[in-house]
Amino acid sequence: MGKFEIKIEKAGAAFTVQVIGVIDEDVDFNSYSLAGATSLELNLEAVKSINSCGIREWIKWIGTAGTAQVTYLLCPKIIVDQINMVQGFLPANGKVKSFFVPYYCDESGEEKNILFTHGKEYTDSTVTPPAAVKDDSGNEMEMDVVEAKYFKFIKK
Amino acid sequence: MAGLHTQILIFEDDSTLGLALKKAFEKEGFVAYLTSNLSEAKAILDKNPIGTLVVDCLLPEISGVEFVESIRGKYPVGVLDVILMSGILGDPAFIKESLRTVSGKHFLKKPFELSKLISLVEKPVAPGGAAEVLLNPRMALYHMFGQKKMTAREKRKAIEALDEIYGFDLPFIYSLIVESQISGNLNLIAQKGDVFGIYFSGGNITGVDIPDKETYLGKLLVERGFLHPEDLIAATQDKSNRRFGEKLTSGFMVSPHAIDIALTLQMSVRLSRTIVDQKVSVNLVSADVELTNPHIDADTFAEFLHDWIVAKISIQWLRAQYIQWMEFSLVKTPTFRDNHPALRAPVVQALPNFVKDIGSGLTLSQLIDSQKYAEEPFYKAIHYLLTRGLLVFAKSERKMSSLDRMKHFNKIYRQFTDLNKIEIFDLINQMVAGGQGTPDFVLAEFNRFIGQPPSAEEKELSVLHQQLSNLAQNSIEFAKSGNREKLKEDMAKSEIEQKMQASQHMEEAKNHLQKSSFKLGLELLQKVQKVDPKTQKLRIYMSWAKLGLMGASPKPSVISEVEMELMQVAPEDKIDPIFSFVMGLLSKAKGDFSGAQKLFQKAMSLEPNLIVARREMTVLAGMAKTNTNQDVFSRDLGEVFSSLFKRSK
Repeated sequence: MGKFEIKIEKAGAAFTVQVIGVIDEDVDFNSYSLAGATSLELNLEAVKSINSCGIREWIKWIGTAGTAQVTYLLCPKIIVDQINMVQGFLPANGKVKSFFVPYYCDESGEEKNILFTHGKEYTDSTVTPPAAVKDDSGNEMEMDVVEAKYFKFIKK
Repeated sequence: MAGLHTQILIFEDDSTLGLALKKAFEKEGFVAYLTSNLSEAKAILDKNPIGTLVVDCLLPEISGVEFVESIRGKYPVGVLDVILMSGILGDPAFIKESLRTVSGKHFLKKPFELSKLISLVEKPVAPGGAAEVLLNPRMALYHMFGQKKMTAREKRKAIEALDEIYGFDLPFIYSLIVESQISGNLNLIAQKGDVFGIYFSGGNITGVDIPDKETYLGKLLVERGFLHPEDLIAATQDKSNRRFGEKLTSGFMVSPHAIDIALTLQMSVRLSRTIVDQKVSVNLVSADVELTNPHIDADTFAEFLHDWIVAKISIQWLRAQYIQWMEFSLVKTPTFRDNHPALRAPVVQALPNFVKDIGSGLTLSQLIDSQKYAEEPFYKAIHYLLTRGLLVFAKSERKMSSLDRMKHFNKIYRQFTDLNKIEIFDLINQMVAGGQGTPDFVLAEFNRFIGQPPSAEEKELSVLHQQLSNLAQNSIEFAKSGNREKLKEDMAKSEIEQKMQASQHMEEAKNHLQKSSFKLGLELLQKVQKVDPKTQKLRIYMSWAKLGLMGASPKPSVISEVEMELMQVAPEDKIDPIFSFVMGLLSKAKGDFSGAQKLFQKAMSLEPNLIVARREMTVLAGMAKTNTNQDVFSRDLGEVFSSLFKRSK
């Protein structure tokens, strides 16, 4: 397996896409046509890294989805950052179904990614984090992002 | 997790108590908003980065607890601290239940001491302060200048927290990533939305994704003397699909090593182009990045860093940036050692006794007031050494006298000279809020920064304090008014007109210089400097005019002035035949004829029709013929070529 892979499952005009690996200048999205999709669900959990060339290619590619209803799910932090900062990374009609929030414990140095799901930990305009997140030793963990920056896309 | 705790919303229908609370918070340096109206409270929360909500439990339209419940999803714990207060509802069960319901921090039973409430809210901090409250991520980044030790994780998190920054912040950010050996991609998003990127691998820069026509490989190879211009033309006519570098190496036109050197230079110049006086958003994606060749290693990076700081960062920006640190001493870090290569950097070397003075416990203000150093190289040397992590700021025990305060106020006041209200607001914003504060926040921070008004006996000081306060107040009121956009439009128009005027003067000056009319040329260039000092390559042409005007008898003061000018030429402007030509003139003025000849030849290889360079070559050839007793072209280059232009090894 190379450093990048896309798996597309089509059920009529509903496409389910899994994106795996590193999105950079070596990725050729032309091989993965989105033509004919009316709904597009992208699982991004396994995206390891993205660079500036990858961002530009992604915007071009996802733009070819046209009017399809685009949903991103299981977005790691690197994807959330791009959604927040780069116009067009998530299409205007796109939605985030779930994303990970990094937590950190000063005491143990442990890091954890907690999944926030639409309708549970957040809605289209609100965020309700879990009351407490604990590390493996039971220590309380803190959210390891700047909330005003990280949750910006929710208010978009 | 630190948040923006310096802005406070007081939601209270008792206007007497509300006003007293507002005033008490403002006195402590907070930005405080007061309302008794539900929709207004929501609007204030929406529009401002409120960190603490102080809310009465019994309000006319809604209970305090219900209100917090209704907004909690949008402003979770960590973003918004909540302090409940009540005079009537105060039994322990109610307090416990309401605090649990709203995830509140404290409950105060009325009446209470104002100081008690203030003590429950985290205070805003000054640079170098030990408190954990961070004003904004950009300011937090520069708090590192006041911290002797930070872990690699803390540095990475500080970079990851950044959003919008200035292009002038980038040298420090690049330096932190290299020094902390972080691997990943730093994505840059320009104001127009274009995305660029820099790739880092364990302390090295492996790639720069910034399109730039001026730094094509072929041009750089010619500029460095690795490729003959005719070979470049031949290679460009090769229509095969091979990469350009392959065409050159397979045709034995250049060695692969030369290509690596040119590609490294290309990365450096492209990085230099990112260091601009504009806002840019950054995002660090930590990831494994393969170490590829060529790359910029830490030592080479340090040399480029020096050039970027010296040539690209404006003195105005540095003055504003460092105003907050004026009463701090400069302290050497464990990284500092007397033979550290950074201390041999041209800008440090250009300041005699500088290294000795910076470790003597003097504050930044005292060092500036000593007037031992030219201002611009001084700030740049300080910025370079702080960025390299050789120095940090430490709190000074020194108490400011009235005279010190006077000098301090004057330093601030001078920066506002010739600026309009918008420019003053932007400058104050940069000074006290990292350029990212709302008008009210900026005003509160500025008032805190200049401190309490002096006593009536200190008349002169009081007047200056009042003037500063009024200036800030006026500019901030203007920033909040609708006139701001109109003035911005007018400024943009006037800037275009100034640029056109400068460009016209520049072209006329160039013509004069070609004809050896150096006096007229210099006069025009001085006009350009006044109208648009950012004009590209201005320093190169100024140097040409000054050297030309000096004539055949070298004057050390002119030579050192020109050396300082040329040291501040941006790396991207150095890939220019005129730069090589002017460097040749400088070498000639210093008696290094062999070096001069090489530089004139280099200028001609970049621009074969450069008549002025050809003319100088003829002059040098004539001198060589007449001077039969001494082989002028075999003098020791190292002896004559100033250390200013020599990179530290």
